[in-house]
Amino acid sequence: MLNAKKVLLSMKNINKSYPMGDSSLQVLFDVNFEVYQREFVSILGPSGSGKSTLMNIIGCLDVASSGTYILNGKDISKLKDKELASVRNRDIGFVFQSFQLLPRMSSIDNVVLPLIYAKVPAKERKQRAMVLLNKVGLGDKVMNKPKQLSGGQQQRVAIARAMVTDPAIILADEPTGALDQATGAQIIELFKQLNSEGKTIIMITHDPKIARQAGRIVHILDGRIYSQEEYERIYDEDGVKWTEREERPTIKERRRRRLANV
Amino acid sequence: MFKDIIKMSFKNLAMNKMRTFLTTLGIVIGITSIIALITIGQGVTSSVIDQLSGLGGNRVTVEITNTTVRKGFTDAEMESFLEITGVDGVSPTVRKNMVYTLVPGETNSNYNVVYNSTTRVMGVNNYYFQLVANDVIKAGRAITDDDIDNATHVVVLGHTLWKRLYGNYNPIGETIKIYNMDFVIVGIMSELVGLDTAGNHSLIVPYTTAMRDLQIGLVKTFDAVVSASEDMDIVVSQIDDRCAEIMGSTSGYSVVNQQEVMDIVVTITDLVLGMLAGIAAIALLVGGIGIMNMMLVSVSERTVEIGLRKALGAKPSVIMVQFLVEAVIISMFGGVLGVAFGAAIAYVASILIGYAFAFQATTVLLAVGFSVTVGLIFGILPARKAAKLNPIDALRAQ
Ligand SMILES: Nc1ncnc2c1ncn2[C@@H]1O[C@H](COP(=O)(O)OP(=O)(O)OP(=O)(O)O)[C@@H](O)[C@H]1O
Ligand SMILES: [Mg+2]
Repeated sequence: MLNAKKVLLSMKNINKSYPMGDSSLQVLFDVNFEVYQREFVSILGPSGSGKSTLMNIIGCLDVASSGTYILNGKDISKLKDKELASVRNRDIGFVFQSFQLLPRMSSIDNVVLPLIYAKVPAKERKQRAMVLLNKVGLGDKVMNKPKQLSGGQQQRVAIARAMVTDPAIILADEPTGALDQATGAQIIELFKQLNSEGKTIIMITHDPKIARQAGRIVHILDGRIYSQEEYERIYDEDGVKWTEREERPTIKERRRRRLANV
Repeated sequence: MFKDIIKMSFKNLAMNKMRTFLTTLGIVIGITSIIALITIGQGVTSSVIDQLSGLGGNRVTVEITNTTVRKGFTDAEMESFLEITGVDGVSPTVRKNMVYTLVPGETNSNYNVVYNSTTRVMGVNNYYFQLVANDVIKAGRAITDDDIDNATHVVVLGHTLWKRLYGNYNPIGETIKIYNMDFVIVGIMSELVGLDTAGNHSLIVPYTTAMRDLQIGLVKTFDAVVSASEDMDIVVSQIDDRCAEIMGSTSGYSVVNQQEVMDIVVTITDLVLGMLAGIAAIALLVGGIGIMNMMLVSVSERTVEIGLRKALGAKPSVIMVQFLVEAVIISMFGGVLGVAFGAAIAYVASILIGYAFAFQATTVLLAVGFSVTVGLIFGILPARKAAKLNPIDALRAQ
């Protein structure tokens, strides 16, 4: 059963370093990572762990310093700028923390945008955008500008835009980060629904509660990737290393220390 | 997709109407001045050349400069120049203010009583009509060589004079009196515009008649018309010899080859216009810098938008084209407006200065092509900047 699953995305020994003057700063270390078709994976890690760096590479906005990255059968590390652009256009749907809608355009025009670059004829563009706006529950807000929408509604427009080219994966970076809890939960529900309908989703977050909504959690810490099992072997439920964990002092011991201090 | 890019560009330009207008204005000013100068220049130069070649040859102007030696040539003396090989004809103009009379019954003028007045009488031959303008005869005919040979009493009315005396009535065949002699009206002239408008107010008669019967005096200056195939130097020196013979002196007169004068005039006109066009080109350059400035501002304002578009799959070339299209729309629009304004200015100038207004399609193509090139050249830097934007940095920049 598991063998029947198709690997959609595979990273092997991905390293990323940023040049810093004479030296360089390595941010990702030997990242090995796979995502299967129809999976809903979350990448969980604290601030500065390299989540955005990894997401930029997954999203083909940036290329790795070394290693192989294969997305939907294409070897990304060998592609030129304009080829990367068409991979972003066809194979990836981005959902950003800050929605990133163009403020001057109506919902439908925002959703249509990727299809313009995919050279889809105008009439078909509108039809496809309408279908998706209806799907995310905004069929009655197609002419609204982003300003005339709530945050949750804006993120729904962004999700419709991410879906419109029918990409291989949806890539969401802190999609609930700018939303209150209830609205965030609705967005996660929408992702779950899309996933159950067959969409592959990668969601990046620093919030374990959000991450647990996904089918699988991948941890990232200081630029290294850990599976849930590996992570649990090293860290406790509070994210503290077992090896560094101080044993909880007994009540007797605590009293002794208090007295000693006085 | 190109259609979408053009639509987007128009939307973006419409967003900042004032900025777009001011940037366009820079190009308009540049192209307007270039078009106006080129068109005026071409018009003046071709008028000068037309005047020169209007007689089917070169002209040599003979003038008595010292009238104490001799008051002028008689018609016979002047005609003796025709004996020189290469001289096809002579074109004299004699003029004097004279009394004329309109008598009811002899002519149906605006006046019911005998009307006396004074106006300029010009004695000319057919060359005058060939030279002064195209389509110069409104009705009837001009003065012919037969009129000169026979010193006939015929008159052609200048346009303004005709309007004043007759309104719109056509008096051809009727008679008026000049210096108390009957003259038959044979023609009416069209209105003259430009430098030589003296004919408008004149009664124009054969010069032989003017000299012999109207006592208008001697010819002080005339043009000798020389066929184009002749060696000018030889003809000019023969004319000079003939003058010396008549004058009985080698001074007190001048013989000027108009071709040489015109060559100098054309050279100077070209030089001055070239310099002015250079200044106009600087205006266009400034307009181009205006475009670049505007596009750079636009790129930095739209950094996030560009980043997003790239993230969503816009290739660098597509972004580049989008910005270039905006620059070209402005410069093309400015170019077209500039051509219109420039042509209008040249047209007004043609009326004021008095040359034939001619507008060449190649000038339009050249100007629009030129301004589009300016748009492309000055648009390329901002467009490249936009195309090279790193989407990661651009999306962060908010
Ligand atoms: N362009 C860059 N040049 C140099 N260093 C960078 C660059 N981008 C990121 N870094 C560094 O890489 C490390 C990881 O950054 P990254 O943005 O991937 O973290 P993150 O997990 O997304 O954090 P957060 O949750 O705060 O967004 C940081 O130490 C950061 O300073
Ligand atoms: Mg981040």
